Amino acid sequence: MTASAKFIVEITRNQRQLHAFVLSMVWHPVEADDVLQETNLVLWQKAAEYDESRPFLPWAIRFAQFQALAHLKRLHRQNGRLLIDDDLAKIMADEAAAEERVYEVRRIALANCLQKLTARQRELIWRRYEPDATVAQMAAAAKIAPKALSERLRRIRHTLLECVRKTLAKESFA
Amino acid sequence: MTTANAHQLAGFEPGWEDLFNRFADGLATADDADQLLDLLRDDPAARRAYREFVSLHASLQWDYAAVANHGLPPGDGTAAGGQRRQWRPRWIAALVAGVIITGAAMAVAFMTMQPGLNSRDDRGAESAVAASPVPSPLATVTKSRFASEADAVTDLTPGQPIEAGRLRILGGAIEVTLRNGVEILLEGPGELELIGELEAFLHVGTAVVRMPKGMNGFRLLTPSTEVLDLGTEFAVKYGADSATDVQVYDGAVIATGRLGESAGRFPKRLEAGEAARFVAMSSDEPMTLPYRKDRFVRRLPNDIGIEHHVGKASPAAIAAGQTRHFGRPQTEAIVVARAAGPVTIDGRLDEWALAPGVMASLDRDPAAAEWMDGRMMYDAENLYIAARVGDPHPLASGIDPTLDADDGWRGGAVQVRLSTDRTLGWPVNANAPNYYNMRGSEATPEQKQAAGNPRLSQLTMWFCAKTATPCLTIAHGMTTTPSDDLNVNPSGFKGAYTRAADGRGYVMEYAIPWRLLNCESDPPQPGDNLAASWQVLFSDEGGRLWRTQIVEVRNLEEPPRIYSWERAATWGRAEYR
Repeated sequence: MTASAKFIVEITRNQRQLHAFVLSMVWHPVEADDVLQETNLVLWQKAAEYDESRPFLPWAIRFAQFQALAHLKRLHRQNGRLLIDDDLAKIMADEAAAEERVYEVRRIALANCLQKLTARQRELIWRRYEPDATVAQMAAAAKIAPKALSERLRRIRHTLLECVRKTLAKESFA
Repeated sequence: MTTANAHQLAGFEPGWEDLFNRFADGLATADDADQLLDLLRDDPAARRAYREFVSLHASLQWDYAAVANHGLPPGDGTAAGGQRRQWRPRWIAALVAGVIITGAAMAVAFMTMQPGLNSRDDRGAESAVAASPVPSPLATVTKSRFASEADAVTDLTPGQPIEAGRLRILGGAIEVTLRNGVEILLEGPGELELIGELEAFLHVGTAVVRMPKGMNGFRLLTPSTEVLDLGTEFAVKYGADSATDVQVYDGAVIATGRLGESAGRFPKRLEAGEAARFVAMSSDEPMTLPYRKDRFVRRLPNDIGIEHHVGKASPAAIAAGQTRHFGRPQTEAIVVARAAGPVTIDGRLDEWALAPGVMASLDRDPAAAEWMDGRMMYDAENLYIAARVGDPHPLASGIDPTLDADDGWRGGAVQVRLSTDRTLGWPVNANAPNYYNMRGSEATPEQKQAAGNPRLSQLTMWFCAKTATPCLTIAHGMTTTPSDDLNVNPSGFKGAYTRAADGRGYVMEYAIPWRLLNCESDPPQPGDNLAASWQVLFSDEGGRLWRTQIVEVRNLEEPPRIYSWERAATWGRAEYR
């Protein structure tokens, strides 16, 4: 197992995109972390096969696709869980890889948009995305219905999506 | 399904956003899963919208929240819960193996960007959406040295409780201890806003945060950067150019840009013994700074009974504070003599017999240990500045010009402000932006132009104890402090210092080419009466904390409570002979 400096740079640079893709497949944050770990291990094992003259993400996302599919297939279909098939997974992987640059611009725009939220909105986002936090737990602690809390989060996400879009429009990425 | 969006996002069909949102929040049903699968299979537009939504959700999950929320206050400290899950442990193991096998240092860099890595946070899960009620007081002043608060309202006596809010000091330093044991040392001038047990905002100045053993998660914000503690002691300085310097003494921190392009940068992890500068609005990597253990004041000595605060107690105390900040000037003019011959810059003042000096002592007390005898000369090439200074802690400045040039005055220094533009006459009508800000007004274009006059110069001269070198900074125009545009140790100046024989003072001597004052082709001439002002500053024994000062050569017609750096009309006269 060998890895070039370029490989390490690329695997580092593309972690977020790989994570986003895996999350779009499995949704559960802990499982997404696990699948990403497994993907990274495979990538590391395959490092010698990486052709440095070719884009990294399309190559790497294929392994993420396989790992996510394998993960989903290991699970029995559960209530509220996605079971994406091979064909759809390939389409999703191809389209995600094609948006590598847009993803990066979105991420930068989001950092700015978060600063525009109110303190209460940001606090709610922070608490929601704390590792291991769940809407159900948060709602129980606040003595409100999970759906009501989710609706608050939806409105904040909606605000952020609009803000990111405006930023991208200014930079001609819309 | 919840209520339809008031403003449907373009490209999102009705219901899509709600559907995606239920998946993000773990509330999706089997029917939702079927609906989403159908959408993704059949509709490229739905997949595009889905990617957009997931991109947002994943980004929040990946770095912003996972990093930032380490700093959230854990309610009232009573929340129970299990251990925080370690993130990606197997991946760390793989990387460690990878590093060993490849010897690639880049993999270490990879590890540093993982959110939550190495967190020793063992506090419980958040227990409520809304912040828990906070018992008071939030903090207590535990130590204070030469500190004076900006508004003479907040009592900074050790033992004084402090609630959430802003704490502003003009000089010296204070140490506050939060009720959870976190200690923050704030150097003046500085403004710190205490927000909660694990969060504060440093609006300006320098703060050192020290966490109790076993605790982490404190978040210190500056206008440009967020610093998240991972169990440590660290210093943060927010100053010139909206830059934030971070230095870690123990443990580690994660620092993240908050403005413009810098906000999109990867969080930067700094370990003990590391320092970096985060420049606002820049997407560039933070600049690595040399680690200087003695750069910041980390501890205050125990109360030695010199001075605690200005306080709100008595008019006398307030008057004392006023004196300390604005001096008690009694001389309006200084004669600038023509040098009779070559001037050797050696700190001996052999050539200065014909230059009448301005003499003053602190608070006009002839017995004071702090006094000055300031002199000025000139010739066709240079302005010469010299002084004999009585100072109980001479030549001790710990201010490093390569890192903290804007703080040169703090550790003991001489400041001279002067005009070389005879068209301005005297007094000079020019004010720094701060002058208008403090008075709730805005400068007119003409006033801004006057403030930017490059022939108004503000010189700060000090002796850097660490390198044993004379230092000089020059700011042109009426700038805010700290100045965003300092000329630091410019080429061509000469300076020399000698220590007084009794060890309680020093002599300083400088030659400053007119070129550096932007008047090389038209230097002052005999008969010119131009604006000038002197300020001699004194520090603590460590050469770090500003203690007091003498202000002289001041326009005595101007109100006393105006700083000379903010209003040129307060400057006295330099009478060139």
